[in-house]
Amino acid sequence: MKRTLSLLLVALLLLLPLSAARADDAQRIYTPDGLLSEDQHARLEQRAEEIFGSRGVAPYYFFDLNATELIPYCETFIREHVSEENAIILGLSAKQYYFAVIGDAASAVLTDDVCDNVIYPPYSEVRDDPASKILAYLDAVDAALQAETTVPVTQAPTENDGVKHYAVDQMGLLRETDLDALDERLCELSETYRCDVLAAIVPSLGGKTAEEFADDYFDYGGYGYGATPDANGTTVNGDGILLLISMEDRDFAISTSGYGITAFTDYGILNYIEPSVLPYLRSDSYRDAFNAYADRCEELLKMARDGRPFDLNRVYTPDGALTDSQWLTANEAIARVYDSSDVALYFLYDPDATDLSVPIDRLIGEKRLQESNAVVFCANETGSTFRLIGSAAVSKFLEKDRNAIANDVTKLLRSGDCYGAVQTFVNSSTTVLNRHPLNGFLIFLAIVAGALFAFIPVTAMKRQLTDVNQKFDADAYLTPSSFLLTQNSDVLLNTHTSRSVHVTPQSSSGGRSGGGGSFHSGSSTHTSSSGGSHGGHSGKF
Amino acid sequence: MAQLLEYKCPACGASLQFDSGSQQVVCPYCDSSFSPQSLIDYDAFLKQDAANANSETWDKDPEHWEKDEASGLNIYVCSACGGEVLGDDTLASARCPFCDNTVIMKRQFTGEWKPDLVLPFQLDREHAMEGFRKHLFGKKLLNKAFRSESNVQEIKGIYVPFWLFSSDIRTNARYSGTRSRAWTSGGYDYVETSRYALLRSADAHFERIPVDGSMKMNDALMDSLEPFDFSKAVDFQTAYLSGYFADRYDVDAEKSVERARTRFGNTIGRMMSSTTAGFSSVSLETSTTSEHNNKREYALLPVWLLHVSWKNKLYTFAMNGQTGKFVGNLPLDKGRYWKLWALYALAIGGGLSALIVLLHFLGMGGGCL
Repeated sequence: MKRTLSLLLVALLLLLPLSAARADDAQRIYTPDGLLSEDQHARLEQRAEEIFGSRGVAPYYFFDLNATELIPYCETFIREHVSEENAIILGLSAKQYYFAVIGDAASAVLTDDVCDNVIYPPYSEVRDDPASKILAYLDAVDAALQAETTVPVTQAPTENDGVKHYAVDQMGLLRETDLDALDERLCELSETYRCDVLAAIVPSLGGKTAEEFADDYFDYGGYGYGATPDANGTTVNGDGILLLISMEDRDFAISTSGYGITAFTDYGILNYIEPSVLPYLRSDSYRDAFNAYADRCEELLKMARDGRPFDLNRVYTPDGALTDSQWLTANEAIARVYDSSDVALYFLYDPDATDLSVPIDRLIGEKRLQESNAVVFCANETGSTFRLIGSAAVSKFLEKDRNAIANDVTKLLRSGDCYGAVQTFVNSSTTVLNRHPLNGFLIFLAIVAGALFAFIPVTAMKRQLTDVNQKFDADAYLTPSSFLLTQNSDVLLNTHTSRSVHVTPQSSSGGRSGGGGSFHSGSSTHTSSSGGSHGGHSGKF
Repeated sequence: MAQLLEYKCPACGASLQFDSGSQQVVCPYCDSSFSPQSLIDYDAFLKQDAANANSETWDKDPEHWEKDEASGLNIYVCSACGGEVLGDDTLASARCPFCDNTVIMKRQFTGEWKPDLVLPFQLDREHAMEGFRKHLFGKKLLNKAFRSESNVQEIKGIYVPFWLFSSDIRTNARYSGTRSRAWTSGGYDYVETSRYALLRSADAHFERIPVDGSMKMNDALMDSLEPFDFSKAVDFQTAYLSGYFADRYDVDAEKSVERARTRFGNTIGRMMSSTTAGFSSVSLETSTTSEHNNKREYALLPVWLLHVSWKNKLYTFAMNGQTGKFVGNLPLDKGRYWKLWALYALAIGGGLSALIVLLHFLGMGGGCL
């Protein structure tokens, strides 16, 4: 008795790591013990994982001889095992089968009809071993999902019913009600700001790049506020912005056109729209992503309407105080300072401000200031103030520095020399930034190096005192020219050639880091296939 | 090709086969292939290597003195250190050349091994004193007090017993070397590594490697006196000893030859590996040396020994009695050593710091409008 008990214990202990290892990965195939070999099971899990990876729907399978009521059993199964948003579950008991489909995207494709007439027959028809049966089921799910995703590609984006759609979802990732609400919101925005704000989810790019696809979607779809489509329904240079998402390889693109290029600058797209939208896309929260997109677009359109499109700019002065070239020179100088010291300088001059913290708060509130280390100087007619952001700025700009700079700059501002004031601010601040970091560590290194190098001459002098050394060679006693090489042959033993893929060093494409690098403002544009000019940015999420 | 069938693969040791298609001998296990000639070379080398184990022997002991030759010589025994030296009657009141003790006892010389050669003294006591003065000259860290306070206790001319070893050395060495070349083609990087067996045999002759045969003499001090010009050596005559001490060997030839072996072994090793240039990596696999036409000579070489006492410590200097080469370690002035070090450290560290500060201020201009 005792013996059997201990045997049982050993068996249990042996099982323990096995079940633990399985629980680590997402398990989707559940069968009675012994039905599938370890190997077969791993292969099926891998196939299920592939389907989930490529189609976004997780296929599950369970077979339990003891299950009596399949529907409640399946509900429990889903609660305990299914974590994905979209999934299909085929459950079997001794007598019957049951399909459960969860998630909007999965439900749209895997209807009851599809489950019973497309997916189940291949499963029931295979009469071989259980592994082949389950594989047939997985393949059928894959085929059904694939058929659904490839069908709409051929359809033109907006030709459905002649109605102009601002939000389009060809994948069924959004709920009907959410899509309608978003469409309405974008339509309203477009009318208010006289600039089309569009969003679209498509299954694939049909061989184009995301940027090309987005530009063509915009132009050939007849979008763009105020542009009249030609006979083919194509527009050129209409005002608008489009956020396009392609699910096949998880591409996204933002394309701007007409007034959209002005309102949505490169800097604005990279630093204002994308940081708030991309995290939602990455976590497949498409409704939240589009809402964030609509919010950011509204804010940027409002700023543009107020005459200050969101762009990289660190010098804010009243209209006419600086010429365009002076403004550019000042921004470039500040960009250079930022490159070398990692501290961004901001110059705000607002003669009408009564409270000097208001313009600074507004700057930060509108996210025009994004750097972690910044020195913001704000002045009005009567006085000035500093705000230091980040430890690098705080540690370097001492009170006496701030007072001295404020003194000089306000004097110049009062005398009406606005450019001189900006120059003085930038130059003095640069001096302050460069003055303190006299690297104590470098000096320390220099002294250590001096201490070490000093050993060289003194050791040489010390060595003069010791000339008694044992000799270990007999070079002096080798009779000159007596060394005769009687054999000198190199026998090739073997040759081994290895091959590896040639990697050409590539320079990473820059410009992604917020605000860094030299100063570039405005929008870069390119020409689309319809001849229209577009701005924007694309990438993967 | 019959004899080739017996060859073993130099790379892996498996039996080789002749491939008539490529006219090469191939190893079926490691894919190596060899030209028949290279295998014959390799095999010949291995046989030669095995044969090379046999060195010829060295003569054991030198000849005895003739009876009457030794008649004018005495053995002086130091009562303090036990050192024994040979000398004629002129040295009766001498001090011990090893420990500088004055009490020295004379004993009748009764016949010993006779040296083959002697290198007569060419420089005298005055030269030795002069050599000592020059030795102290121009040494910045020499303790200043040593120059003025040190006192030369005794200067002794001694014939130091040396063994001179001459031999033809035959060496076989096998190195393994690799050579690599890399190229890019069709989108791939290729690296081809070829492994070679480098077979080297060489003969070399070493002439009269001197090894100090006196236990009392410091080996390093004697080595430092080299080189001696043996072309001036003459057959031993008792007359040369007159007025000088002569030490007797107490390390025999058999023991001394080991030091000579180490020395020519190192030289040969360096010479051999200098013939393996042109490979990206080379390592020695095996090496054998054998000694032939060995000649061993017992020689007395002239050395001036100076004992200098300073601050209760004895400093020993030696001068080559033939060439005047003067050697001997001198006391260090520690205070001066650290003072100079601090001076240099200050100059170098200060200079570097100044440079850093200068660059710092020069670099401030960046970013200005």
